[in-house]
Amino acid sequence: MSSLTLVTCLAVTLSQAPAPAEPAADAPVAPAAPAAPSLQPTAAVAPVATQAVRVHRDERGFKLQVDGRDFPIRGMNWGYTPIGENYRYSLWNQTDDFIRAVLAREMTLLRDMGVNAIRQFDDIPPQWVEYIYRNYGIYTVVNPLMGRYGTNVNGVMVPNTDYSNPVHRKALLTDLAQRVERYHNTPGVLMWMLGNENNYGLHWTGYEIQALPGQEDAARAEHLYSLMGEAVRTIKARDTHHPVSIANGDAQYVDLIARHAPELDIFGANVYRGASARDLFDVVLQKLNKPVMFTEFGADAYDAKAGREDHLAQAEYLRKQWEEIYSQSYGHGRAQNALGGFVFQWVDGWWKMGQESNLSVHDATASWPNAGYPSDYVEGQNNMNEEWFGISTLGPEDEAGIARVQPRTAYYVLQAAFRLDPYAATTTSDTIRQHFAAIRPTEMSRGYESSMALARTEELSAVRVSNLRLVMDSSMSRGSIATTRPNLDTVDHTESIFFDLAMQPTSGVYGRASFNIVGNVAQNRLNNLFYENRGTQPTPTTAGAPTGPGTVPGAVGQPLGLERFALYQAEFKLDREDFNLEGFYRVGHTHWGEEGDFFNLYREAHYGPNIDIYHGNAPFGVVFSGKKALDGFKVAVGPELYWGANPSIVAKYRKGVGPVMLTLVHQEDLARGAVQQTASVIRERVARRTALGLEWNRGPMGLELGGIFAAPQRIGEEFIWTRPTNGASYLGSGYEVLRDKVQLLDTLGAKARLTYDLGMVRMFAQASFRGLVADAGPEQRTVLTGWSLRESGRGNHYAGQAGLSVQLGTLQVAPNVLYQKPLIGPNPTIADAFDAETGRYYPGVRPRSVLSDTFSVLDNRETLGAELLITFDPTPGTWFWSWDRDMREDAPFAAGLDLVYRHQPTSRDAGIAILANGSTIAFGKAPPASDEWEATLRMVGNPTKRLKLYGTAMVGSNQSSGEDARQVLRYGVDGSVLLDTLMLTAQLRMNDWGPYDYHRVFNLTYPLQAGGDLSYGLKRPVLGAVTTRFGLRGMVRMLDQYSEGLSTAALAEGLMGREYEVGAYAILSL
Amino acid sequence: MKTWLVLAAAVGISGCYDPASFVYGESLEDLTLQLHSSNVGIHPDNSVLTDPNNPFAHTTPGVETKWKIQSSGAHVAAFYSWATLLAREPGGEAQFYVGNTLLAVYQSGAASQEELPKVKAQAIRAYQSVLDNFPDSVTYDATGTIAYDLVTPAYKGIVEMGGTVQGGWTLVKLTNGQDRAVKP
Repeated sequence: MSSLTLVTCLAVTLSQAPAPAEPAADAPVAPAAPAAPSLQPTAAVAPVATQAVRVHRDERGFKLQVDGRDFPIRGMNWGYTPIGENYRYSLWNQTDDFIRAVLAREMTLLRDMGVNAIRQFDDIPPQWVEYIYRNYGIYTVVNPLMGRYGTNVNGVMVPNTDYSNPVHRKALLTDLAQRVERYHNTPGVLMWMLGNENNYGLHWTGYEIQALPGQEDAARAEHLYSLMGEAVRTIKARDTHHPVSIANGDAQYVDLIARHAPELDIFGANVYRGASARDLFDVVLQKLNKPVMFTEFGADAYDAKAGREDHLAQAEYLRKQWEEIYSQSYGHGRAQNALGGFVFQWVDGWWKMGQESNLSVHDATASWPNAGYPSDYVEGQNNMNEEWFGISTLGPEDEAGIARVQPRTAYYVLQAAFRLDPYAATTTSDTIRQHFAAIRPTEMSRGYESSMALARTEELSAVRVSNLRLVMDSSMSRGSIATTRPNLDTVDHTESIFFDLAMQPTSGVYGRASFNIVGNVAQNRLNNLFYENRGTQPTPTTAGAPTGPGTVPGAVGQPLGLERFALYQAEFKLDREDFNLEGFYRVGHTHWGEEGDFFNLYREAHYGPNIDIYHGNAPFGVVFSGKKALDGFKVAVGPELYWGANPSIVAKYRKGVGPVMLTLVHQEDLARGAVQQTASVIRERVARRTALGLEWNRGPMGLELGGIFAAPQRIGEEFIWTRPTNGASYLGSGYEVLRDKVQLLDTLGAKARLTYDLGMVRMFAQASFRGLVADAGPEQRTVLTGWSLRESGRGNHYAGQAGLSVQLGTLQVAPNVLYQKPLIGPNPTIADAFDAETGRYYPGVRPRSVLSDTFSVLDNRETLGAELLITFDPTPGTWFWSWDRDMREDAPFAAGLDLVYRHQPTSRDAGIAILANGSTIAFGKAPPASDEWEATLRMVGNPTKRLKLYGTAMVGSNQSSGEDARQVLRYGVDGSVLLDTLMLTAQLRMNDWGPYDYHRVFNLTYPLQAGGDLSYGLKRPVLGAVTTRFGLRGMVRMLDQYSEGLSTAALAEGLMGREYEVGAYAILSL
Repeated sequence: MKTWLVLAAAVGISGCYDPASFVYGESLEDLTLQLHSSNVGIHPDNSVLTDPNNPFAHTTPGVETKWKIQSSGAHVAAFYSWATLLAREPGGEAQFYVGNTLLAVYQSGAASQEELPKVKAQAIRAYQSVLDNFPDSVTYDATGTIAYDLVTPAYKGIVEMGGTVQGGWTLVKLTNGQDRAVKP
């Protein structure tokens, strides 16, 4: 069953060569000896005009003909996605030499099997369609997806296509017309195929395969199939040489197809009915009077009931399915409308479960039920294993970097099946039956069973080392006479080993644990906070001062004893009929913002390297997700569900009620977390929160409303607040000081957001009111585009925000304004006093803190903000503002400029610092009221397939997050050059904070920080994964009186310091 | 009808929202000590922060203010001041002056008759806590540079109140004639 995997990798083949001269009209196209592979076939082979492909019909039925010759479709959904990659990977983005090498291996196997066509989504360049045809005689079906996985509307990728929206329809048809012009004269194109189960996409909530829906989306299906009818006419107006088919989800809505798309030439469907399609051929003949082509069909090679591979069952299903196709084909007395089919699929897709994670795990989770496959079907349980549909297994890459494939038994069974020509004069229904009866999978399985791949898979399927990584690093550093770091060379080294154990005890159960062992840990690193340095002191030893006398940067503890061994990550998944259970420890998860969590009580938990740097133990918890009767119900519980969370439980229930979707979320802190790791992630006071959200969409308009009830535990708590006065003031401070207490209304909040999508112009506006203690989470979702100016999620404020995104071709201009103001402003610092004469005591006033006060003013400080985001991205399918744009963006050049200005007329309450001894303190004051601004320019370029360039330049004026009043005007540039697997990165920062949180907290800046890294890897780096690399690095930084590490003498004499580090490293990763 | 409902809701909401009160300071005179818990003022107890009698429960006496209170003769207020500091920022100086102020309360009778024996016992425990928990603690003079050790006056305080010094401490006379509490 196809899914987004197919976005990048599907196809079909026929083992027939380019047309020889004057073929016999009724004879199948004879395979021809393939020519030597060449990317410029016209130079070696005589030019071939565009083939005329048509559906032939007479009283004996339907059959496909290419240039007048019969063409039984023996097709394959083919694609190339190595282990560790996912749908983002595209073979066609690799070098020409690599593509040729992959095709030489895989197309040869397909041709030898008898495959004569492949199905490909339309990312295959026409040159490769022709190349495959000329060199292997295999045709390509070009398959525009018609918005199945989103639509590019005026440069904006809309994830859920609205087939009733005229703007979406126009965008799809315009794009289709352009694609037809691009492909229709390409030799090797067999036909057009529209969509991929778009009827199922009307119902499914994600890109993964789910249980097949019923007819509940009939109203929206009308719009879908009327668009398909227009699409057929769009193609036929431009291409008269190739028939048009569809990839429907089974025969669902066939009546609508008859009504809206009568010009369709071939009814194609993804059919997963088991060994027989039963009445499908007859239904299509009766209702559509069209030929049938299976665009996907087959069986997985995993027995979900027994929890083991079952390649024999897969081969047997395919044998029976092909026998039925033959017997239903032209001239054999039954429906006589079967043209052939495209087996799903060529090779296992290891990425299909989860799609973004566990890409190197062959997941045996069955994700949907199908009683048509009785060999492993159990009532009420899933039995379809998405990652096991290949008729070949997928193995690790060989020495040439090409993923190994090992044909399963089904390969040999189909090879034998395809030897029979269904249209030969001697082929009858009896000969078909005899031919297939003679094919016995058990006799053809020996080759596969004896292969090393199977042996290894079986041996390692329960427990295996799924990853092993060795890191070796050596470094030399030196300070100067003005630094506390010695003015002499110091050399040290670090060794670290990570290894992962993966467990799959049975179907639907998966676990992984990753461990780290440390050898020596370098003590001379300039950036001395890293995972292996588990004895590191995370902050300066004196609060509020850069470095005290005798404090040596890098003077950190060496891990000893058991600290050398650590559990780095762990996770498990349990997939059952009624629920999923997932556990995670230091493994990221996504937020629930897209699932109705309007107040962001369950936050995103992907932290990149920071979680290692600060030795965080988050996220840590378990999530229960209900299915069937419990669909929409989720519960998460854990010691730290996201970084900074208290031990808590979060429950959510989401349900559609008429035209609106309601979501109820409750979060309960069970205790206060004890450990604080870094100042930017502070565990705040215990709270209880309940939020109700409502979503309503109508056409281009969306409305979200929500209310929250938070922290009722604080009702009755007293607090002090102040307000400026020109009259008599408290202790002559200029303020009146008042005592108040939290009341019920202070626990309430509300928020509303309206979005409007006009295609080229999209806009949103939102407003909110939050009581003093009505804290929630910061906004987790991306609203319209990648703005960085966002309203605070904290209580104690009201706010309004509005934004507009205008798409001008490949340029997006997006202004955004925000105003927010706390209900009660920050406290100033007023020293206490005692009047000995009267005996009266006047308490002091100090800024509040999240550690102990009832509420505070931090990112909810009064702000009038404006942002202008300008993005140039000629390939909006790869969204420029996604987190992994550096690697994912495929445009020759794309760039984004983000300008943000924050007018802040008042100050805020106290920031937090974590001292060297691990204690947490609140500062006694805050930086003064001051405006801040930033300008950031991000660029990605792909001048050639081999070369990628990306980088960022920024300038900004910002405040410390601690108490220091000095505002920092800082500059920075970083850039990377990736040539094949050789990578050079460089950074230059001026007057900027050091690399860690405490540098900003204590306002520690360096006049200059510069660094570079040159590395060579065995493969291109992949974001989020560590691959084998060997590299050299270096960095230098200048120190002044604001820097950490300048000596006391240098401070007194006003000297500048300098320190540098060079190093070499090797990372070996399986 | 809707207008009336909105008005009624507004009135109801405003009616249930208590107004704030101005802070003018408060008199520390006439405070009478009542020990809030058995360990109040003894490290690491911090129950003084929840003592409704404590005028510093929601604030922290400033660096200069604490000495002004200490020297004002308001012994109960000084006790709460030092006990609050001890709870918020544990240290030998605060612990010593907790004992010192409790001794003054006892001697001045600034507690009920029933409380006075407990106050005396608590003063002895406070001094003992200096010896047990903060043996290296010192205090400074007005210049902030000259340190005086606190274990010796704590030792003497226990003895003065008729208590018994625990933990093996003893008083020795130095060559300059001064006494010094030491723990051999």
